[in-house]
Amino acid sequence: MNAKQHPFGRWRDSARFRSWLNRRVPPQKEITLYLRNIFILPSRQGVYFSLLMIVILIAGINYQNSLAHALAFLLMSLFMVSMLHTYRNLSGLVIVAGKAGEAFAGDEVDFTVTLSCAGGRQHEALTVYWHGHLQTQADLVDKSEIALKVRTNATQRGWFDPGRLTIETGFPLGLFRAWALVDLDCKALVYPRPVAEDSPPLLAAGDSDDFYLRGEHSDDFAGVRNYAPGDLVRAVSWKASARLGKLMVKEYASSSGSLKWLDWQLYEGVDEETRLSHLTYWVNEFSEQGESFGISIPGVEIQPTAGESHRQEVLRTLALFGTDAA
Amino acid sequence: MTGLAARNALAWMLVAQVAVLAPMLLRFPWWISVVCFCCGLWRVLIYQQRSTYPHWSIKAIFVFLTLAGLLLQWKSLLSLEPWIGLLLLMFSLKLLEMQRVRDVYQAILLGYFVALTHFLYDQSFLSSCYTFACVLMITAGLVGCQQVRADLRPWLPLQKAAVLIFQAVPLMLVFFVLFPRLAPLWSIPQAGSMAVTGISDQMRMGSISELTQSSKLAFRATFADRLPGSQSLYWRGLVLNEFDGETWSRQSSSHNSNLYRSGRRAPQWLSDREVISEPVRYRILMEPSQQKWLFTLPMVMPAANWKIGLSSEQHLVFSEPIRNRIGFNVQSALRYRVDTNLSQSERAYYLRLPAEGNPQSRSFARRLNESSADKQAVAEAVLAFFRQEQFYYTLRPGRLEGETIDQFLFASRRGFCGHFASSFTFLMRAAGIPARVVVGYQGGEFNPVGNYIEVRQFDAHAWSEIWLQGLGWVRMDPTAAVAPERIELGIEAALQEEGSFLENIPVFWLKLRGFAWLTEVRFQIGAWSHYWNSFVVGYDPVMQLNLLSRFWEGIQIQDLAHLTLLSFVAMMFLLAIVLLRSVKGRHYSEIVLVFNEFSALFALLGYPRLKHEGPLDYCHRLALQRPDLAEAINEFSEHYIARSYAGDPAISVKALKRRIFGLRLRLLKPVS
Amino acid sequence: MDVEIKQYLDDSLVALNSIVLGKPGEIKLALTAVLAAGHLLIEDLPGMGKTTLAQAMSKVLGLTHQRIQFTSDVLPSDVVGVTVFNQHSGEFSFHEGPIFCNFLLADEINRTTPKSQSALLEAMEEGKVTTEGVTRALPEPFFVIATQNPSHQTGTYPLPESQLDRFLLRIQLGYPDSDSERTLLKSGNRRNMISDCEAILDVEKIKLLQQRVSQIRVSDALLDYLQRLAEFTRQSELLHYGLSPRGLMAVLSAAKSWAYLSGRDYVIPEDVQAIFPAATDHRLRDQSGKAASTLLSTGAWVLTQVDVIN
Repeated sequence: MNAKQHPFGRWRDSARFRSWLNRRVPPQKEITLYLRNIFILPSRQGVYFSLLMIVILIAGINYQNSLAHALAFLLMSLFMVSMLHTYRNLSGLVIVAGKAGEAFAGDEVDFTVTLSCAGGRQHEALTVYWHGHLQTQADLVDKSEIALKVRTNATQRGWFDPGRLTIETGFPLGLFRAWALVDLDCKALVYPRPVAEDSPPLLAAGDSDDFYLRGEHSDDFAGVRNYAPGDLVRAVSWKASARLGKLMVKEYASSSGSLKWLDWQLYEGVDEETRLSHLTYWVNEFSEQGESFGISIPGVEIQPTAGESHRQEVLRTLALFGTDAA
Repeated sequence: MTGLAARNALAWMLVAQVAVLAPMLLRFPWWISVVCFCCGLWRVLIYQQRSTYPHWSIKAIFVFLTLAGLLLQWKSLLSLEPWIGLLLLMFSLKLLEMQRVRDVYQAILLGYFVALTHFLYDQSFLSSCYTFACVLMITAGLVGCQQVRADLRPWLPLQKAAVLIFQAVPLMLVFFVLFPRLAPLWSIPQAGSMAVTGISDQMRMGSISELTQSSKLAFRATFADRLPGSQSLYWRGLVLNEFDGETWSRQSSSHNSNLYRSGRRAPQWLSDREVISEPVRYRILMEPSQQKWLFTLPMVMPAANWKIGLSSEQHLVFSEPIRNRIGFNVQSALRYRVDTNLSQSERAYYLRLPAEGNPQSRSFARRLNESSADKQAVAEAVLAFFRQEQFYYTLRPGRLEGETIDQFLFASRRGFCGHFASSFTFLMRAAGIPARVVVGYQGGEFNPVGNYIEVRQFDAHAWSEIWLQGLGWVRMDPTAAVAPERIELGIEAALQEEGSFLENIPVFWLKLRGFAWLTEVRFQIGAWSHYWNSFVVGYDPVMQLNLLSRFWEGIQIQDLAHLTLLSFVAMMFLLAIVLLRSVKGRHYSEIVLVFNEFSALFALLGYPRLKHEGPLDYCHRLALQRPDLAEAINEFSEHYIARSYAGDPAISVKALKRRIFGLRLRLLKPVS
Repeated sequence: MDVEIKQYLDDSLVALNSIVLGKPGEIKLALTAVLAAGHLLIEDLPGMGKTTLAQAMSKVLGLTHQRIQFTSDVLPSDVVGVTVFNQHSGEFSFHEGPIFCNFLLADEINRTTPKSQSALLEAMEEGKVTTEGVTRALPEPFFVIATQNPSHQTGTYPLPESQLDRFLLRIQLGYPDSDSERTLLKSGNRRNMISDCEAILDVEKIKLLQQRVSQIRVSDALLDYLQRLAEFTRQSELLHYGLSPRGLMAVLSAAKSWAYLSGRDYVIPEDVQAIFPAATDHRLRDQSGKAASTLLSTGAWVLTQVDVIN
């Protein structure tokens, strides 16, 4: 949780340590933990425990007490056995990078990490986290696989690399802490941070013929209903009226509304990131209301439509705008 | 690792705490129990969410009060008890802030420490078992701190802890046997006022009755060859030579302060001992008594151990109070003659009496002395007096005040060994016969399972020795005159009618001696704890070297260190192999393994199964590739699919394995 | 009885194969959908025989059938029916739409507006129609074959993902092979053949068949495989989203019918593989075609990635 607790503490960020780690535990989509990538050291409790062991042994010697010796030796053996168990609790664990969730810059992003056991063992009380972020607890007991969502903070839009994942355990006695730092080579797509504004940068109607025509036709014909005084004569469905022998009125549904084009060019004197943030905000707004919209940013134009995949496509474009991966 | 402690961990911690505190609290002042109980109760209320953690000020007041209590109780902090008391109190107070995992860890470490203090007081077999059970529960608490599973059943931490301890035991045994046992590193405060048990160096009329009500073990004696008869089982402890009118006590003087230790220059009195019968050899394993006296049969030979001294009064004295169980080998000549040449000053020394008091007894002694032919006749006459008059052997003698000897001899006439020995010795001295009171144990119970004699506190006894010209010191037991069955059958028989034997101990299984099988069980347990005491508790540097030099001639302590290290590495290696083996792929079901075996066979032939290829497709392909095996392949696939997907119970995994075997055979056969 | 009913099924296959040439796999899939009581979506270019297949099926299955040719002005009431005022009786009466039949052929479903599409698809899902507060059950069995043009064609309203999910299987017919095409050219008009064709199955028989299919055995080993497949689609970085539980159920029931059609009373992984692309291609979406190469559909690609025996 805090850097102080980490046995590598300060120097885990040093370049030398990182390059050494990269050689020792190279980035991989799937990593099996074993001797080479598991580190193990006594925990703070373990240090206290060994001090206790020594004090008990000294008491046994000074009082010439055979059973105090026995107790000291039992604790010592327990200490050693627990070291093996703690190591065993990590070894044979297979970690596979899964899918990253979607996130906006400044929000939290979930990475799915799948833990499975290669050794047919049980792995208990595992703690999984990205350095400095929320810890997730997991158990692999009586099942061979578990998918975890491990959370971190997405700082910048674009492809976000969370760094190395820590998997650690103190099980069973907490006297040792075994951990592995694995680079799962996974990235999350982080969308720009949405920033609200009052009115959308919509392309005015008439600027595009296509837009205009489609707008007219987009009202759905929904059905007919009985004529009520006050209805427009233009709306009377003569066909239906003739068939049914009374006046019927055509009804239109306008659920999808008119088509909208979000346009980059409409912002003036605003920097790129802010434009992206505003556009993101409107993409979210429109998608929430189920409206069709298109977007036009330099180099990319996406035709107006609605739906989840459209939203993702637009957001992806916004996220990668101006980055190498665009 | 911070955060709130898991409830399971807390639960186990509480259980372990109660278990580990209970035996200690019995040994400490009542108010410590009260404090512990209050803390425990409070914690349980918190656990049930009916109360909250106390404010720090309340905790501070608690700590202050308990520290003050400790200081008032013991006045000084130089002995061990106040420290153990402090440990107990801190351990209980820890309950009130056992909130986070870190606190639980601290409590657990304290718990192991409290378990250690058990052993300072009691190392018996049963109590050690109990303590190790406590250690198991404490360890379960430790496991509970780690386990975070939601579905955690309360027994799981205990189960895990048991597995760990089970695996740790072999390693522990290696350490226990091989780790060099060192001499104390520095001198330490001993448990000063730890209750002195057994015989004291003072005897008021009636004080032995307290002992008689205790069934605690005093010592065990294992005889090398034959067992002496019960009449000669007089275990001499110490000699009381001074009488102040009420109390017999032991006075050091130039006559008896001189101890002989082996290897020293032999004092003069040592030559005045005559061995008549062949000495019997035996080994005594003594329970801690916090006193220096060792109990042996007369006439004891000087011991080989330099720590054991032989007094001129023919009893053994240890160099320091016996705080731990000790064992020693001795020899005794059951028929002997000692101090036949008692000097004039010594004779006077054993005749001293207060200037006045008990006039009735004094005149009675004078009268006997005048009417008797010799000194021995006087003693006989007194014994006859005890026998013939209405004396009763009882554990309820009633209180005696003032002229106690007179009252006893001529008024109450009810008493036990202490009364008889005391008054007999008084009469002897009054009659001019050098005499002394000897305190020790008489008799004991033979344990046929362990082949030793078990002497308990209720076997405590007092008798007299008188000095006769030409015979030296002669044992006189006036109790035997009154209640001969006390000597022949033991104290229980002597008190059978009265029913006062062990009457203060409400339910005690020794009372159930009538049942044969219970006696058997008792003997078994006794034998067990005897072995425990001799080989586990008594495993000291000497025994360690003795034992190991059987396998390694001339082993030194340095060798031990190396041996320990070596065996430690070997054991760790073994354990690691056991624990870490079998990292060979995922846990497959049997039937999948069979198919994998099948595809591995064909992979060798160059037709590995593609990952996405189903069994039927794969077998079709194989059949096409290897028309010679097509029939066998198709049969296998048919059976495999029937078993794995159609769930046909008629097809066994074994049968499938046989088919693979058949395929192997066919492949091995040369093409005909 | 069992053999007999199976015989009818085989006869139907033969009959269908004689009308729609060179497409035995697709025809088997179409029957699979019927046996699993699911709906079928046929997606292909105009003139590939979609309608022919649908018509032939309606004939062979012996079910009351209706057809709706969807255009952009088809109204929901044209599908489900309309309540009209009867002047003679002076009461409102419900005129059932074409949807009230056993076998509905919805031609070019993506030509109509989302409103009409959803009217149909809701009826498909629920098995009943609700108009003006009155719920009317559709006949049993109710089976829809919808055809659609590839969505990139002009003048189409592509079905949203949520509605695609309601089709058990989606198949594409594709061009016939040259032999079949030649036979087709020689034998001439299919329409006459369809009208000459006789009904082989009927409502009772289909219900019986559907019941038989539901009794097909599924072993744990197979369920493991199914779950591995689903887990893979959910975990794969290259797919936008994984298979929903409903999607997985669809795979299972389709696999069961396929197993039955293949003459087995238990499901083997090959059954799953046979229907998997048809059952999942419209339920999965890969990220801009990264996962599947040009040769494989998304579902087929998923199959190559998951170990059958594990």
